[in-house]
Amino acid sequence: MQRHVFQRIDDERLTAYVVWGPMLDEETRPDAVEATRYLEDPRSRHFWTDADRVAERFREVTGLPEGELAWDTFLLYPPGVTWNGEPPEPAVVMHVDKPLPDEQKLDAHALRERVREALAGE
Amino acid sequence: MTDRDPSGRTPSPSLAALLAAALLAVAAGCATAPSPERDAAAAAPEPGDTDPRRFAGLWDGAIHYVPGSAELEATVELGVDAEGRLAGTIDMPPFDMLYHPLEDLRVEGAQVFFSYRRDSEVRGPNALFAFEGRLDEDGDLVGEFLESRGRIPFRFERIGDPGDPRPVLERRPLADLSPEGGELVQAFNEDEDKARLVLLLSPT
Repeated sequence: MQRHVFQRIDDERLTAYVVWGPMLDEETRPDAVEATRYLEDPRSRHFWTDADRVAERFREVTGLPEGELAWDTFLLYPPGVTWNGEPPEPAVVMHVDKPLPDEQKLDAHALRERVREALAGE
Repeated sequence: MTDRDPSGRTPSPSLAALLAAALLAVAAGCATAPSPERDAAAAAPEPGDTDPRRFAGLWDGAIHYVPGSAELEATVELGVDAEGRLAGTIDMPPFDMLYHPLEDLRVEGAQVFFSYRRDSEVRGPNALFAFEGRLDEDGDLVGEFLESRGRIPFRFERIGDPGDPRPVLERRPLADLSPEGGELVQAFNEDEDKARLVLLLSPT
């Protein structure tokens, strides 16, 4: 994300929220502290949760089946979207090894283009 | 478990691959900037030329298991010692490898070869990981990373000279979320006028 998206899009209207959590049930907060280095762009904000609830809340809008958690998903929201109640529908959902279509597998190059489109209002 | 990375772990999803991605060099906040000497480094060698100096430099890039998705970042420093021999080290921050020694460095014609050893969960202790590279028309060091599962393409950009400061990855502040993620909701709505990425990831 740092190399493919943030280094290549010099626009203050782009931000990222990284939610680090216990996808494998063994991660710790110190792990997350270290992991913040991998998206060190000042436009990013990093959060830690020791529970699955947030990943559970994003399950439906990512299109995941019941019982799945939205860890290892990448969501893009264009300007103008607000969050009231449950998480809003993202414009783009990408994933790594989730039971979602292969066409949605993480492709940072494609995501960069979608970010550019979102910033351009397309 | 695969043998796709130096630690025996899959360079996946988690962060290395992605967030990382990388990592570095030109990134805001990095300690070094891209080098203007790229063109000089790209000088095409004559067949049979074994002068290692054209490969000298601080190289930053990634091994591309799945381009844009699963990439393993690395920084390689190659220099020439007093005897004219190529020497170097490699950093792979996701695996806490810093200044890890390279061995068997050699130049054959247009190609450079180097490797390192590291314990692998798959292949056991002291497993060998090797690089075969060349300079492309842009002056980038490109080639293949050899491990037991095959040959994985890599690309490194020259970001400086041997001995230059290496990219430094700075930690970012980490805020604790309440169970329902109220702090995330608040940030999301405060940034309504922005394009927002929400990434839900494992830190390991």
